[in-house]
Amino acid sequence: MREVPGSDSELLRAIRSGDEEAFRTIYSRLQGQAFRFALHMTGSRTLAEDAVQETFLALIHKSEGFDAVKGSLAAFVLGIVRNCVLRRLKQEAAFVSVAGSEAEAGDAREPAADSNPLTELGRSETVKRVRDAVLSLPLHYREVVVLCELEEKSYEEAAQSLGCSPGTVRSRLHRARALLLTKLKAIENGPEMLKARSRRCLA
Amino acid sequence: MKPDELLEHEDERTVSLALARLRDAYADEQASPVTEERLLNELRRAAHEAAGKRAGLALGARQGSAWRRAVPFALAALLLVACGFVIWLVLYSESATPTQLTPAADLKRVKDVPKTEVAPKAVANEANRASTQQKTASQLTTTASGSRDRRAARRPGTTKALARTGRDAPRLSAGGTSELPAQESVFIPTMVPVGRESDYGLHLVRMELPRKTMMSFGLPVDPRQLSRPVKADLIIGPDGLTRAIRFVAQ
Repeated sequence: MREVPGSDSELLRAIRSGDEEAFRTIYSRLQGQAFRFALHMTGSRTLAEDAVQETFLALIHKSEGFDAVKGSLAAFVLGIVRNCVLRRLKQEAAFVSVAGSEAEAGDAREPAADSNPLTELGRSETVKRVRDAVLSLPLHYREVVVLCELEEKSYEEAAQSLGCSPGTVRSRLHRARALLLTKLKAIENGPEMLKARSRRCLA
Repeated sequence: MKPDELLEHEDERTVSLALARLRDAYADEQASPVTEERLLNELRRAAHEAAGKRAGLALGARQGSAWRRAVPFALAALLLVACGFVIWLVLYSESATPTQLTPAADLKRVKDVPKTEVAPKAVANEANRASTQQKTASQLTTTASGSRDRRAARRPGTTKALARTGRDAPRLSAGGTSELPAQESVFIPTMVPVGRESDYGLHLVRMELPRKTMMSFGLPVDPRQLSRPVKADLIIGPDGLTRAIRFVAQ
């Protein structure tokens, strides 16, 4: 059996030459975080799937842009996912969402068999509230929250994916957390207040 | 710790806890296997295309080398053809120089020009009309060439004298008296022959035409004799149309 080369650059070169094993290695390592990032950003499983597919297609056909000196392959891939997501969100902004489709992201999770149903219900309610709060954040705040809090990336890695400085990531994350707290409180108080606060934040 | 700081610290903890719950809830989320299968298919297709492209490039390179080998031969052949053409041109010009046309030959050629001219349609029509009118009078009927002479001689009722034609043949007037013309023009065709026409049935008819008819055929006319008619020999075809005309100036 042929040995799969180790470094990211070598793996990408192997993918370009049609090596399926190298592709599987990269895919299994990066598809999860790419999918979760797209899912948290869009709130739609379909859009997240599309974004992941588009990202890895770009990796197959046009991965010459990757430079190992500038950052890791994970940051590079998350940068591609981000661009795909922003493009799709811009396209989707022209459409009105059908009732029920918004809830598709988090409802797939089933409660654990050994847990208390009431506790699980409360936990899922909390998760839904937090997910709605994150989805209601402006895009530039949402992406730093997803990268740094949900994907546990460092400021440097997030900065590489977003194409900005780590200081910008830090300040955005601080504001995003404050905004998120406000939204969480608003959700607890009622949805009307959430809308009012969101409008003010976007303004 | 102050109450405000305590509250702020507690808010931070609330946000962190909420985000941690969300993170844990989505920790196992992955793209569907269908996406992976689609991507693998695309990878295979891209690899296949790349292999085809590489094979095409290699074939193109081989063809290019064949072309590069053929270019010197093509250039040599071209050079050979060019040299041959130059040699032929030099030899042709040398052989053509002694036989250049003299002024006399040019003059002769100019004189021959009316032979190839075709009479204007109006004049031909006029001649046809006149020949049709006078055909019944039939001043003189004979053939236009030696072969026709023989045919005419064989024809019953045709006298030998009538069959004699050409420059050496005496011109017969309507009254039957012999009249040698002072000058004759050549036969000028009045219509373009269509296809291969048989000589049988051609008749030579002498008749008088207005002298200005000669001008229509580009022949010189003495202005003082313009009012006098001129005799002309017409070759009439079996359809009654004039094939050619010859003026007999007196």
